[in-house]
Amino acid sequence: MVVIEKFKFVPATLSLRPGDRVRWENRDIVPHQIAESSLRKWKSPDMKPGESFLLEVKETASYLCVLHPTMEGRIEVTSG
Amino acid sequence: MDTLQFLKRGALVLMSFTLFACAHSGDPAAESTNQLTDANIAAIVVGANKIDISAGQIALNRAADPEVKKFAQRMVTDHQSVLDAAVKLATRLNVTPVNNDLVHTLAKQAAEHEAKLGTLSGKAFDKAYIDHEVAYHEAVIGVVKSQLIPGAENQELKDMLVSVLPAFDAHLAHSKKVQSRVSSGS
Repeated sequence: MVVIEKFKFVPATLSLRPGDRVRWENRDIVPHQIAESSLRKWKSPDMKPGESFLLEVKETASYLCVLHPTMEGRIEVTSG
Repeated sequence: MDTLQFLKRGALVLMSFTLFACAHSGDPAAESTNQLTDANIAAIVVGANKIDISAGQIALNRAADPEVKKFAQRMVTDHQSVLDAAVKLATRLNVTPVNNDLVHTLAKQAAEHEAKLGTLSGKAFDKAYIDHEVAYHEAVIGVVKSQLIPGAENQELKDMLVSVLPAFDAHLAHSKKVQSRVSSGS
């Protein structure tokens, strides 16, 4: 799980295997919306405080908060 | 007053006012301790958030650059969330915000800024709005760190102030990014 708190993704980098599922949980007092950095592959809906977003990962990706674009994170997918 | 002077004053007013208040309080300990009560701090938090919400609402109507509008929407949404949390906490703690001279000074400056924004449009509006947002967030972060957090007596109020700092830091970084875009004309 990735916790969103104090306007950071914790952990900022997460290592996973293909098909793993990752959940982002918003523990801040403002909404966040996360998306793959190109904004083309995947994007969550607006996540209000206390809400979460679940994604089945297929490939390595950098991501950001669309609403606060200085917030950045990364998921690294390795099959080994 | 030209734009540069206005921004400099806006960035410094919070800090200079509180330092002035300490230096002239007659209390030898005033320079190292805060004279603000929790009720004053609550009023400053409420006032500072309302000011940025109001400026954001003006920008939503008048900004030309879509990134400036996005930023303005973020300020309205996020500062409303912070305001709601602050009011909820103050209500629970039975702290009634008490305005002081700093709140009145902030309100007066905000009125001057909004009047100025009302005379501008297009790129000139975008620049004035985003330049002020950078200066305003720098000033607010400085005062929250140096005055409000050390000065808060109630631990929950102190914790709330600590918890909102990352939001203001993120807003400052975001505002600088938009400022760079507006300045370059891209």
